[in-house]
Order: sequence, then structure tokens, then C-alpha cells
Amino acid sequence: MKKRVQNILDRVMKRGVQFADVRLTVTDSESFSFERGSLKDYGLSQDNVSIGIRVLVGGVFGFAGTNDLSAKSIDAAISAAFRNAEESRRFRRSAIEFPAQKAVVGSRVIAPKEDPFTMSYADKIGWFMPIVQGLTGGKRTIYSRFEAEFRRQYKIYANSEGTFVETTRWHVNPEMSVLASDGNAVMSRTWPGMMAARAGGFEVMRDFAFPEHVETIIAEADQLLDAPRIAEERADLIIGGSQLALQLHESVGHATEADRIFGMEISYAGKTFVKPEHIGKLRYGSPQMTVVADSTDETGIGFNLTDDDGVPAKRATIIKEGLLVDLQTSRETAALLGLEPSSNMLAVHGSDIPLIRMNNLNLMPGTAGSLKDLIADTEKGYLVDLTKTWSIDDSRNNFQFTTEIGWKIEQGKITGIVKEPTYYGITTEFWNSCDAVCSESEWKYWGTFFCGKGEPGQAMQLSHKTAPARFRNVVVNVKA
Amino acid sequence: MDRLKGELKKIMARFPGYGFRFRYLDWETDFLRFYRSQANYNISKRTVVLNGTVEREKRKFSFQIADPDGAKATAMVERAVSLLNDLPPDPDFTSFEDDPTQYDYHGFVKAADSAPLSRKLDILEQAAAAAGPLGFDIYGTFITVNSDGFLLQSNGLDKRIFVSPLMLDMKAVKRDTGVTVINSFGGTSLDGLDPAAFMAELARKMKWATLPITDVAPGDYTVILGPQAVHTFLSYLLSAAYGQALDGGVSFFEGKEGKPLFPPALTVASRPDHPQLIPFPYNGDGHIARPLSFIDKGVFRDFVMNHYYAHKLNRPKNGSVGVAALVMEPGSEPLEQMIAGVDRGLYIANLHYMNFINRKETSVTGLTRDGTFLIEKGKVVKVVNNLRYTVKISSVFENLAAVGSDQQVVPNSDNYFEFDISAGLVPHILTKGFKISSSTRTI
Repeated sequence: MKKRVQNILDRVMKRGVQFADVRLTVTDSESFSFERGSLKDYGLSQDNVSIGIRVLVGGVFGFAGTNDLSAKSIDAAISAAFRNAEESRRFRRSAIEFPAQKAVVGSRVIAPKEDPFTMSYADKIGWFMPIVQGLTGGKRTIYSRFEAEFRRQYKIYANSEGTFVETTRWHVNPEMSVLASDGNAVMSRTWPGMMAARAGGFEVMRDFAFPEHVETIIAEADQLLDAPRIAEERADLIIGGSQLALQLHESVGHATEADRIFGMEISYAGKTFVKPEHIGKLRYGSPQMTVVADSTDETGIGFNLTDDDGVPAKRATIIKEGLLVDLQTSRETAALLGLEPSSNMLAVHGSDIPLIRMNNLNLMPGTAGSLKDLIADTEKGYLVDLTKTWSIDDSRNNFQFTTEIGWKIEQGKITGIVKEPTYYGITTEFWNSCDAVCSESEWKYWGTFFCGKGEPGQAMQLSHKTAPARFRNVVVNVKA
Repeated sequence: MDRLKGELKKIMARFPGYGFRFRYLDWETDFLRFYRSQANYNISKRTVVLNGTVEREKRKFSFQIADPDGAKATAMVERAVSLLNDLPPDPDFTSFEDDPTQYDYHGFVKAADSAPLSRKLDILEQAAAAAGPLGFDIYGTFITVNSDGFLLQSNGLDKRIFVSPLMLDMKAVKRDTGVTVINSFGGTSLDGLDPAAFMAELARKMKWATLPITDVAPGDYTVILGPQAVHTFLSYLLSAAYGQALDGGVSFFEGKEGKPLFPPALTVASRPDHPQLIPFPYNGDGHIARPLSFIDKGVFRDFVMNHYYAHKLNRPKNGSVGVAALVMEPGSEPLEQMIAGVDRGLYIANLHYMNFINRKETSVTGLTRDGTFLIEKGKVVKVVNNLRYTVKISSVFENLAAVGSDQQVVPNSDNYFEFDISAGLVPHILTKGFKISSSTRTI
């Protein structure tokens, strides 16, 4: 594979380019889907190879990708990449500025503790079955589901500056859920929620302690049918790690992607309220809020040796103690903004074009102690977690989330549950209302396999490390 | 393709006690993305894939092979056969689709033949030149897709599956304010696009985009929804009209067949045979695509029943492609007349990032996008910042007050898990009591 990639890169460079890169990925995935206690689908995709060729010619990028690695197909892809660049030049007002980077050469295998691809399928199914059968047990349970997907990806990135890196990484995305009904209303509970993707292997399944949570989610789905809704107009909220990961993702992660500033994603993903003049000036959040984009952390899904722009992995501070100090950038957008690129250009597969994507975008831990400590420190409010509905506007300014469940806090103690707690906010006002973030003991990775962006669409895998945090006086009165 | 099919037939013959389904796809696309009236990037992408399922005695195993050949398929099937007996059986097991009807591809064209990159660029250059003097830049995507392949099954089904749509999404963004309006084209040939008419329609919307910008307070509004917004609401509402939603206990339409749920002005069907829409030869199982009446004069009629859920729910299957070919019947009011009848209300062109709060209740939250305008005393008077709505979609159509006479083709790219282009044909609607829950304070 390495020789082949180098050979393709050499051929591309011989045609004359300002810059070129070749990316190859080999992806394996294995998925299990159970419904109402039965295996509905067991699927496997192995050695899914794809390759992408990107050329910068005359100040314009051209790209072609394919998963057909025959000589004829590669020839066609090279020609298409050059044609796309050369023909597009006439509809381009300014040449792309693409500052050089130093070459990086390296190789890294981040092996899991338990490789799901070397375990027998019988062992895996044997581990799953008691869980999925247990999910069917509730009196008012009308539906249950358990899904797990294991992925392994080998990637080579090589460019015309001499960079040549290869990585192999394992990722897991599991979730179980139940629906309960009283014949009219339907309530859901999941575990560990929709941000359950993590780097690693089968040990992630064990870490999530699925068997221990089966009875809890069945009972809570049932209790939610009879639970009240939040009555107040505004309340103090403690947001749990899973929900906070998505809050961070939507209202900070996407908002600080520099391509959105220039309108490069208007046609699909949207834009951002953040403007170039905000860098170094915008009070994005309270002093408790520090956010880093850290592709050097091997324990997160977003680890890379370089991004798919050839920029070495780095730990870029995006928000420092509430102040916006940087953005997630590509080489092109960093040059336009006068910044150093943050190593955030990534593609899902070889045949996808790289875009500015979150890697390990993390909210740094605070000093509020454990979640128990933070609850004890809260006179009145709600602990909300486990996303049910998520929505944010085109400019990443107005968000509204509903979680599956909320726990009422009175005098520092949990005193009951509420159903479908819904909160709304404006991004910077909300983050400025954060007065406490739990300490490192509560700081955990959450993640997703399904962050959509780009056209043709790419569903990216990425991570967010968060600890529960408290937000004061949040609007919680929204109802349909 | 023929060689691979021959190899797959040999594999099936080698394992007579097993059932097989092979879906081969050779998918090519050209995506031209543009921003600030210039090219962003142009992508050519090709994916060749074989999806397979092997079944035996209530057990199924599925796989995907990239860049497939006979040797890879043989190895995977041997693996499937070796493990299939050890999998737990599925009590709801249903074997493969068995509808033998073949689609007649006579007259089908390859979209890329009518839309080389040079022609796309010509159109964009003309559009940029037209928008520029008005103070706007153009942003968007120009997509062509060609997907050719086959479905081959051990029960005798052997069908070619070919689709080749194209789509242009063009947004005009006012340089000084960022106010955005959109126009779209979808079809199977670029010959169907009249660039002058397309730009005239965009220019009409750009005129509204030059009005002063204001904000509105939360509350219940009389709202005119543009065809794109109507299409999105209908697609979400009718996701409850699928066998899967019914089986999962989350269908709003459960137990409501034959009941009047909406005003008689609402008639909606799935029409894959409609000449103005992007044709779908088959549904996802390989059943010939058939029309289906969802809502007839306000009365809910039927669910989309594919092969699996028809068996599981003991209902007849109907070969519907569901919301991939939505047609809402027009009414009698031209848009101008509809606007003239609104004392104070909103015009909402498009929706963004909508999600269910409670699927069974059809409660959602989402945002407006690509043009939200204030109507006062029968005239569009201001641009409004994008707004958040929190509504029950069923109520949006229960409160239907008028249906426009102007059906428009609304192309839609399913861009998340699997890229596809479909289209709907829908008019404007006027609805009352539409709940705006907050402002985004941004355009």
C-alpha cells in the first residue's frame, strides 16, 4: 500500500502541481443490531479501501476519489483531479494561498486492549444476548434496541512536501434503548446516550457497564410516563457529561470552524455567528470555560499524526478562560485569518475531500469536584443528561435541547425526576452563565460516529472530553 | 458488471440450501461547490460496492465488499455460511422481496451527459454576473449523480437498478447583510433547466432580501410556508406513516386510517411515476415503485409497507418509496393573493436542523433558513432574523387555511448516511397559530 501511494503521488507531482496529496484508507467495520431481544442484523465490511487524490493547480484545488484501485481507475482519478482544478479556474476570483508545512514522517498503531476483530462473533453475541433479552423485561416496555459498531481504520497520508504518515486506530459506538408506553404517550431511555462513541476496542463495552444499566433504563422509561414536566420559566441546570459533549459540539465546535466564516458550508451545514474580528476579543464564555482542539491525545477518537492537510497534530487552545483566541482551521482558512493552522482538516475515507472537522474538541475540567459535590452545592435546579432532541440554527447562535430525563435538585439533593426537560439559549449568553465545571475525576471522553458535514456528505467520528458543568438561570419553559 | 453477476450466480449454485441477496452499485458523482461567486472545490467520486445478505433458517448475515470481484465475494460467502448456523434465529424473520416486476428504463438518460463541468460553470458564471450588480454573491452546490447496478437474488429476482439525477441548489447572499434566499433545480437532465427563468425567480426573492431587517417576538403567527418548508414538514410528518414507525409504537397515524385528520384541502401522495419528479424504479427492497395515497382530502389513507414490515404486521405490501416522491395537490390561491390576505404574519422559505421532541406527538423544534420575511397589511415589508419554532407538525396541517396554486419541484439531497437525490412537488401553504418560540438574532 505504501509503495502504491508513493507511486501515485510521484505520478501526480510529475504533472506539475503547487501542492498535492494522496490519502488511502482501509476500513473494517462490524455491526450488531438487536431489536426486542432478537438479533436483526449482523453485518461486516472488511478491507474497504478507498483513495483520494487532491491537487492544487493554478491556485485552485481539484479532487477525485475512488474505491476502485485498478490502474485504469487510478488513471481516471488523477485525470479527474487535474481537470476539476484546471476547469474550475475560470470561476475563481482569487488563488488559494496555501503556506508550506514541514514534512512529517511517522507511523502509529493505537491498539485496543481487547480487539473486537480478533474476538469470535460467538463470544461477542454471547456477551450481548443477556443484555438484549433483559431489555424486554419492563411491564410497559413496548420496544427495545441494542446496537454496537466496531471500526478499525488504517490510513496513509502522503503529500508533495514529503510528509508520509500512517496510522491504525480502533473505535467503538454502542447504545441501548427502551421505549415505554401507557397506551398514549411514549417515553424513551437510552444508555450511554447518543454520544457513546469512543476510541478503543471491546473494553469500551465493558467500561460502559451495560448489564448494570438495563434495569435502570427500563425503570426510568416507565417512571417518565407519569413524571411531571419542568414548571419554572428559568432554572439553574447541571448538564451531565454526555449532553454537555453535544452542547459543546453544536454551540462551540461547529461555531468555531473557520470554513463557516467564509461561507464555504452555506449550501449545507451552515455558517457561524463568529467573525474574524472576534478572535482575541469575544468573551465566548465565563472564565470557567477553556476549550482545546487536541489531536495529540491518543485516547480520543480525534488523534492523528497529521491532519489531512499535512499539518502536524497539535493541541490548539480555541477558548481560553472564556476568551475566543483561535479557530479550527485549514491551511487555506488560517492564511486568510492570519492564524497558524490548527490541524483540523480531516476526511472520513480516502475518497472523501478533507474539510475542517473537530478532532478531540475538549472542555477542560474545572474545580467543582465530583458531580455529587456540584449537586450538593446547588440549592435549586435540575440535572439534565442524555440527549433526546437537538437543534441549532444556521449561525450556531440559538440552540434548543431536550434531554430524556431531568433530576430535580432541592437543597443540594435529588428529589425527583421530570420528563423531556427542554432548555434553550443563545450561545455566548449560555456559556457565560457557566459558573462551575466538575474536576478532572469526572472528565471523560464522549463521541460520535455521525457528525455530518460536506457534500457529498461525510459522517465523521470525533471526540469531546467533558465534565458536568452548571449553568445559571437558563430558559426551560419551551413547549410545543 | 456482467462478469461479477456470473460469478455470483455460481456462488449461489454452490450453496443450494441458502438464500442470497446481492445488491451491486457503481456510483459516480460530480460535486461542484461554490461560494462568494467562485468555485470552492469540484469533486469527482466513484464508489463500487457489493452489499450481500445470506440467509438460512431464520438467520441472516449481511456484508459489504468494496471494489468487489468473484474471489472477494466467494470468501465472504464462505465465511457467512460457516457462521450462519451459530447465530440466534430471528422470530420475525422474513425472506427476500419477491416482486418480479421489471422497470422499463426506456427514455432514461445519464445526468452527467447533459451536465459536463464546463456547462455547469457557464451557468454559474451567468448567475454570478446577474447577482453581482444587485449586491449579492452566489453560494451552493451543483451535483450530478449516476448510479448503476443490479439486484440479484436466489429467488430469481434479477433487476437492473439505475438512477441518474442532478440538482442545483443556489443561494444568493446579500454581501452587506448576509440575508440569504434560495432557488433550486432538480431533474434528470440539465436540458430541463431554463437558466433565465431560474435567475428571474432568484431575483424576485433577492428583491425581498433587500428590505430592512427586523426581529419578531415569540408567539403564534399566521405563516406562509414556502414549498421547501412544506416539503420538509410533510417528510417529517409522514415518517410516521411507515411500517417501521407503526411497529416501533411511535406512529402518530396508528389507528387513524380512514379518519379525517386535516382540512379537505390537504391531499398528499407518493408518486414515483410523476413526470416532473426524479424517477425511482424500485423501492429499497427491489419491489417496483408504486404510487401510494397518504392523505386524501384530509383523510389519512395508508402506511408505507415494505416486504419486511408487511410480513411482520400482517398487512399488504405496497412497493411505496414513501417521502422520496411526495406530491401535494395544489389549491387555488396564487402566492400574491395569499400574501395579500395576511394582515400580520411571516413568510418562511426553508427550514433547518429540525428534530423530533416526541415522535408520536409529532412535536418538533427547528429553525427558519434562507429567507424569513414579515408580512404586514398584505405586503412583504421586512426581512426577519431566523427564528426558532417549536410546534406539533400535525397542528401545522390541522391549521391549514389555504393552499397555493403554484406547485414547485423541490429537490432534496439525502446527505447523511447515503447520498441520494429525490424530489417533491408541493405548493405554498398558509397556516395559522404557528408557534415561534425564540429568535436566533442572526440572519
